Amino acid sequence: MEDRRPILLVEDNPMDVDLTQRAFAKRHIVNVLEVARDGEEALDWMARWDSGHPLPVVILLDLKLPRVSGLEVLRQLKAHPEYCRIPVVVLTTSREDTDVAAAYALGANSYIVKPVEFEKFIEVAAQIDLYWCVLNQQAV
Amino acid sequence: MESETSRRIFDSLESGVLWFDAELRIVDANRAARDVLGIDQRSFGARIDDLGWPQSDEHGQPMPQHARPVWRAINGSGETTSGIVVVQTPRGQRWLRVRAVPVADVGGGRGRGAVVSFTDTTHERDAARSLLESEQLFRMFGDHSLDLMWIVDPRARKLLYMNSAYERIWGRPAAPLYDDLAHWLDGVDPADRQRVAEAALHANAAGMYQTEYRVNRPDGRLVWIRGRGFPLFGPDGRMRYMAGFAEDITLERAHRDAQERLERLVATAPGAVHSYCQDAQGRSRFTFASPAIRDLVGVDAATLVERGIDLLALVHPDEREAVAQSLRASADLGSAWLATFRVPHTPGGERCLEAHSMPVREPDGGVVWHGFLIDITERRRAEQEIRSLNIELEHRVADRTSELEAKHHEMEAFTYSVSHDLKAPLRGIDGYSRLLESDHAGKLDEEGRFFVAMIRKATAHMGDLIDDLLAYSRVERGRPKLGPLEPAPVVATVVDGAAAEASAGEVTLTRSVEPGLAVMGEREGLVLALRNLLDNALKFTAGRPRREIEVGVRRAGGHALFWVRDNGPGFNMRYHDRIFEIFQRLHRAEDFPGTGVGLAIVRKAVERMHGRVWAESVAGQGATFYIELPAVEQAPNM
Repeated sequence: MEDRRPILLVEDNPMDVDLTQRAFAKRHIVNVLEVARDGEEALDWMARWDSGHPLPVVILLDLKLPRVSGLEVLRQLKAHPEYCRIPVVVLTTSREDTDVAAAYALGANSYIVKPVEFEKFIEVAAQIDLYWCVLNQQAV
Repeated sequence: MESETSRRIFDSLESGVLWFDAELRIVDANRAARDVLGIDQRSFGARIDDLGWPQSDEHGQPMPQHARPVWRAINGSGETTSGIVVVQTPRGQRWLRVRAVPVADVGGGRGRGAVVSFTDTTHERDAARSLLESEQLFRMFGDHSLDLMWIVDPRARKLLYMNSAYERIWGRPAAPLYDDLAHWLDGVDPADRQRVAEAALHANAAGMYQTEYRVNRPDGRLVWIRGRGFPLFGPDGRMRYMAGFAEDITLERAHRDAQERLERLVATAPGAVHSYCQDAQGRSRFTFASPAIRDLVGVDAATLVERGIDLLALVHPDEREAVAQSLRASADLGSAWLATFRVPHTPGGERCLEAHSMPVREPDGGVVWHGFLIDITERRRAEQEIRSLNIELEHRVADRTSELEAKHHEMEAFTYSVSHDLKAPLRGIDGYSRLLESDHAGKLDEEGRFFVAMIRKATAHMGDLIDDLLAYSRVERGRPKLGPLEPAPVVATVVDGAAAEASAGEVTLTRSVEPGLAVMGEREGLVLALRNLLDNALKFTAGRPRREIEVGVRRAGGHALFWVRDNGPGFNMRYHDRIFEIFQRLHRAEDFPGTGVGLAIVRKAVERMHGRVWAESVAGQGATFYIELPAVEQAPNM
């Protein structure tokens, strides 16, 4: 059973946002892609969810963000009694062990390094959709 | 005695004269005879034997009548006789030298007889006898003396007397000295001879002398002598004899040497030697201190001892109780007294002292500490300085460390930026090129499509470069966790990891592992290095017939030697150093693709494990890359 709730993309690079949208389109992923342009905006989304905006099926989180870092966003999300259940997939260029370890320590559900090649990126988008929007059964 | 005149003459004679008749009766006696023998005219007519005076010869033997000169004169052949007659008279024993002359008529019609004259030698005899006795006494006295005594006649250069101590002390016979006085110096140590001879010579003019010298005994023993000589003067005030004593002072000398050594030791010992006494009532004072104590406590040794000053009175007030406590503990346990304390008032200002003493329990219940005090002020100061230097050093190290850490963080941030910021635009270039290719292919001619392909190829290469750079910088950062490592599983991991690619490329991939080896290294680092070498070998054998690659390890001295051998094109050994430098490539990119980072990563990883990496090749005949790591004795339990 496909989950048609939106996907939240936290990404400051407009080109990456655009390419992500295109990659999703190439794979015919129908979930609405909502975008937060930096960490602060990402945290603002919690207020919207509070006032009834539907929760995302998954959050794709970049780590290097202006103002509030991706790890801080992750920490606050996972500290929230309710929003902690939203799966967070860290989608970043960093292969650093310290970043991987820190992300998982804060409760990240997955960690994916962004490939440079667009074909691979499309493949990544497809896999994310398949796993998190189709296969994965979430707590309600 | 016929005439008055002749009587007067006889009576004035110094010698005694007696007249005897043939029956040995006294006929007459002059005044000297009467005085000496204590007789008067009443004795005239009496026989001398009737007087009851025993007579004996000079040896004390009773003298029979016929042995007497008077008897022999009367009854002999008319010759004069003489002899010594000792008569016991009422006035004492008299030694008489007697001469008896026979006469035909002694007068008064008494017929023949003898005239006896005598000289009283009693006084001379007594003098000679007492001289003999005193000489005997002197000899006995001398021979009982432990010290050598001698008397020399300097004019005749003759030894007159020497007691038996000479033979005992010198260990030589004395007789040769009586023959030649020069033998005196025979026993004296050659080094002292000149000095001793000069002292003796000098003494003739200057009077008494004293000198100390060594004597070598024939038995090899060395004896120290103290000799004293002095002149003996005659009644005329002129020197008659030299005399002297010589004393064996070997023991005294040894004592004195030991004493001097001890004093020198005390005087030159670091710090001050002391005896510090605590009586049964707990009162403490110095009973001895070497002079150096003045500099340590500000009171000279004599004052310290005379006034019975307590050490505690000199110690800094803050430390008195602790010092008293340490003394009590030392006295109770009988253990060494070791204490460090300050003395505020000394000529050099406040001093810091260290005490080392051993307690000795006295019979009266008191305790005496014998030991020394040393000045550790300078040492303390130096220690303090070292401490503060160390603290400063630690601060500086901490500062430098935090600086380094800051640099390190900066570096990490930079790497992070590189990975993120450089790759983001690449993704854009590749993504939009790909979209151009796929969604707008119809608007591009063949050349346009070739350009897009070239853009995408360059983008991919740029991506590889960035990834390799990041890998290189990851190797560089952080400390390796070195430990004993078994090489076989590492080689297996690396070889197995490449097995798929090898079989796809028809590569004969073999391994050669010497068993029982262990190296000091880090698993991740070794895997990284070997994997890069193996990737390298796969890359350089690509396209060659019968591709062969061997990965192995064996013991080489105290090391383990890993190798990766291929039958690729190899390289010119002229460049063997350059191939491990970053971005250095020996081949054109169209022949063998690559970034020039792989071997640099290998070297960096191996050097972090204190190993060595090098390569050997003959151009056209393959290459062998070596990694050398320190071997350890025992393989770890894995």
